[in-house]
Amino acid sequence: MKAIEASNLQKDRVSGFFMHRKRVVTDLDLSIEAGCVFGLIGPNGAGKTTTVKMLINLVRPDSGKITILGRAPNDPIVKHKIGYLPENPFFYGHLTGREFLDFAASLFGLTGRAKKDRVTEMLGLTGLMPHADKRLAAYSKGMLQRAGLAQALINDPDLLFLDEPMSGLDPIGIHDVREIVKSLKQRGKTVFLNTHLLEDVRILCDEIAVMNQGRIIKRALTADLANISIQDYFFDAIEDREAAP
Amino acid sequence: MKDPFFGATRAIALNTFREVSRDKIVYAFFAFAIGLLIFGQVLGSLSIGQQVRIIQDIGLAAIDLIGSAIAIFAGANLLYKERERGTIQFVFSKPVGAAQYVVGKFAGISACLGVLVVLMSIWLYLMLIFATGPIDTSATGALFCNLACAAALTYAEIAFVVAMSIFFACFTSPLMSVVFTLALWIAAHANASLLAAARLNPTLATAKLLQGAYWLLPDLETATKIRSSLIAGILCDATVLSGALAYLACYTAILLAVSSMVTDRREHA
Repeated sequence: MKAIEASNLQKDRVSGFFMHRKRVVTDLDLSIEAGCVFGLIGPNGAGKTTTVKMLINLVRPDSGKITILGRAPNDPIVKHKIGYLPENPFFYGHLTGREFLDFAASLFGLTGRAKKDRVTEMLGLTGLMPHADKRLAAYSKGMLQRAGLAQALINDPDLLFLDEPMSGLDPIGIHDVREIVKSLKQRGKTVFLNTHLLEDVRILCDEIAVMNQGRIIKRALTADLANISIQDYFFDAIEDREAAP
Repeated sequence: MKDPFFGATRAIALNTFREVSRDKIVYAFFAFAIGLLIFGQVLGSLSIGQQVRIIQDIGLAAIDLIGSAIAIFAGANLLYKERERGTIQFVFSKPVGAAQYVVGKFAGISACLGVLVVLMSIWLYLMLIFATGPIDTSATGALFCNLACAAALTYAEIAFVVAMSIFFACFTSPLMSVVFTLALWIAAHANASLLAAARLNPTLATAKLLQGAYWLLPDLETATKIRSSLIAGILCDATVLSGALAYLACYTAILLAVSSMVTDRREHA
């Protein structure tokens, strides 16, 4: 079964008084199997975050079709089954870590004991238990990233979108996130990893795609890249694209 | 898992309530209490025999002004902050619809202002009891009844202002939202003047235009008139009072419905 299917996606960014249009995603086709850890890599401004936002219906494509877990991305059933960690997460500073996760769990309709247990489990999993009753305004960048991961996992999603999950994390945090992704993979979950850290892709992903200037320019199974470094693969892809007429 | 629609709406309302209440809104109550204490005593002592009336007038006007001011700024700022900080992406990546979001925000701000209105009304009542001196229980009861009706009407008006503020905040900047809400609030308080102007106007087209504006714009003048009669000690007809409350509730519901539609069409990039 396909977890994500997208065909011919296009998206323009419209800005300024004269509604200047700039294409950020062009003719994007994606097909990701359920249970796969998929890594989307690319330079800054390649269109990776816009792609993720289209897949979770925060942004609507100008054209093309998206299917997530066999349904339209705006279907509430789909929303119940996905988790999303935004890039540079900034959450409600007035809430404590525990209150924030309680809020996230409530948005999924969790109540009572089940909600309390799930919140406690996520605080433990992401190492936030010692800071659970501290306000998010007092959290460091790394702690916010952990809180972001905790809220993304609160509903035990079948499909998880992680947008630059290692950003701001210390080595222990990076190790913890990698272990979480590995355990999700073992449980058959699908993970869409959006990153520019090539080492993460090599360690975690089953399949990778390189995106540049709004297009997916190269795609491969990581198992097929055993004899070349991901870095060489990435730079070859970017150079080929830029050399193209 | 149960009741996903109201569960999510309640969660957003609770989060908004926490955000507004932790934003030092309670200071507004202390400013009101101290202000009323000072103005009530000073102005009351200048007007022989009218101290109770003056405290009541100033008190209710202050509740209305403070509540409306907080409503305008909270509505405009909270939605803007959600977009600026990107927390709106967190909310809409969950199974939350635009209507749940808008109603949740409205309920949270309104609940917080409700607590503030109750606190200020109780303080006003205590000051009136103190200013009246020892009187019989029936007079105190009538005073309480009138004040409670006036406070309920004031609260309905404040909740309506919250809805106006959210409505404008859905598609403008916080500054413009404040300007538009203030303009509409002032127009709503002078709504009946449009009808009077229409009657006086000799041109049919202008008269029709003014009449159209009268029906389209919200009417807060009626609520103010009812409140004035309550202050004057005239017990209001229950039908008139409930009619005014129902009018504000309907207008509020329409604004929230349109706000939900606008939010639904927006992208959360």
